[in-house]
Amino acid sequence: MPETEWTSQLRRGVLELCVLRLLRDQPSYGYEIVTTLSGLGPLAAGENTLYPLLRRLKTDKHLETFSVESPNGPPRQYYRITARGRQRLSLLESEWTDMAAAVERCLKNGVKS
Amino acid sequence: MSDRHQLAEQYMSRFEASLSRYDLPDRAGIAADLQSHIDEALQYGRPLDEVLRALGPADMLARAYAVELLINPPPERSRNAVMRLLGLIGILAAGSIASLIVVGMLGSIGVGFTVSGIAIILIALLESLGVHLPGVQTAGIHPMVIMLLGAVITAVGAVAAWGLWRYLRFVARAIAKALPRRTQAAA
Repeated sequence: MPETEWTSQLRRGVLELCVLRLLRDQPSYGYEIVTTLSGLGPLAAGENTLYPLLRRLKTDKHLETFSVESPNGPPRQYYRITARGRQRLSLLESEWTDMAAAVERCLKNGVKS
Repeated sequence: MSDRHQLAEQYMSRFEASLSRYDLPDRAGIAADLQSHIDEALQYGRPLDEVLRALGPADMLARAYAVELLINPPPERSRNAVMRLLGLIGILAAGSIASLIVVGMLGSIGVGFTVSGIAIILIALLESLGVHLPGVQTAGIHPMVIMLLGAVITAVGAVAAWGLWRYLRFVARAIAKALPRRTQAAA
């Protein structure tokens, strides 16, 4: 089924949360993040969306980068979550949980409380 | 130079040229990120034309960076907020004594002279109409001279009131500038 613009907008909103969560447990490099997300269906973000986001998270000091020598070519740039990024992740996780629960209630009951 | 490298370099050149149109921090770092991605994708065996196609046109990618970074600017650093607060305290401390003198002086002259000047003009008007108020001594001065004197005193008072207004506006702006700005998160 072709993706709608609505899905694209929704993904744009939650991508920051997902990227921070992906990097919570271990650092990763850009291409690996792209391929991981591509296996998550609607969360598959194009490089032209993901790299600007990674740059913003780095500018905001939610992520930091470091280089690791690669056996096959130039050094790879890894992204690592910072303490500030972990705080941001906690906040977004909490907001997402509230939002998801509210949407779930809305879908179940309509406008009735 | 192989065709493949030439293609990648052309893309990077177009991207960097497009990026330079936007006032973004660390443009060299952004270009390095992109180069790193292309290198990683090639290491994974993806064909270069497919990698570049996935990135989209170079100018659109540069625009995507600009949108992401300019629409979502980094929140104000807490250090800046502290410096602003210290600045505000400094302004208040240094300006409080000066403000007390300036406001007290201009306020008293502004109000006192304006009210007195208008009262003198009214008295002169009544004198010219032959009405003598009890307790008012004009010492034989012509009512027109009294009226002129009243106008001068009113003008001095008005100038002082205008100066007070300008000073208060200056202080209000200085305080507003020193106050911590609302951050994106708080908006």
